[in-house]
Amino acid sequence: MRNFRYKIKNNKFYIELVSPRAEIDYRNANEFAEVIKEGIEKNFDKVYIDFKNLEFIDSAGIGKLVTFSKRAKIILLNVNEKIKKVFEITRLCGLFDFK
Amino acid sequence: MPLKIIKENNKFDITITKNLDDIRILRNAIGTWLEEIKINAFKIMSIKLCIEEAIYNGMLHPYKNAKPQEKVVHLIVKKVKNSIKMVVRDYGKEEWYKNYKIPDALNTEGAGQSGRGLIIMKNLSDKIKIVNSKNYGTKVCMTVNLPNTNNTIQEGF
Repeated sequence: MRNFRYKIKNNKFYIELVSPRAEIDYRNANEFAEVIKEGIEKNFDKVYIDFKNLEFIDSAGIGKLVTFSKRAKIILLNVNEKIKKVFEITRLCGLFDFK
Repeated sequence: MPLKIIKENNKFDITITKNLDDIRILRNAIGTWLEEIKINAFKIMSIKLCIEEAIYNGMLHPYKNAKPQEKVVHLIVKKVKNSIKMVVRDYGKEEWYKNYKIPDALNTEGAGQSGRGLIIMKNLSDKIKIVNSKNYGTKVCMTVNLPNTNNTIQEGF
């Protein structure tokens, strides 16, 4: 089962998490990376990722975001407070836009 | 047996062998227990992240030339007064921690993908101690204090 899906709306590339209690970790980080890469290969310079359902992200998932932040602007949507704190403590907030 | 979980009242004793997929199972088992004892959501995530990153390091780095079944990591998680204490131990020969370099958090090149596990553990725990020995592997001891405490730890590792 896929953990991530994308849609293109108003010429913007959006990634959604399929599970209502999604987790991004060492197991699915590569799949996450593939979806981000798809947006970049379609020549979108911004990738919107909806973290509404995100319950957990580990260093493997964070690492993928950091890697792709050089190739596209990563915009994180609906990030809950506990996840945002993880970005804060790893000093990564500056790499991404939070909306 | 790849994953062995012993749960007592305020303590988990877990042995994980070779299968990284088991980390998710034990992470969620511990998360459920922490919810049951009314720990807040951010502390639960902090504890789960500390455990996951330490186990992940313990399974990957110290067992360079070991057979899969030789990759064993032992975890103890317990509630001690107003804190959660975690001890993650591997028995690998590689002294990985001594050569470990904390990456620049904003490094987006190559190795920038990895290495944030230790940053996460150091920042999400209130106390961390890493003991490395060539003959006995590496032991990572972490404490997360729970809210509404005076941060006094009554019992050591």
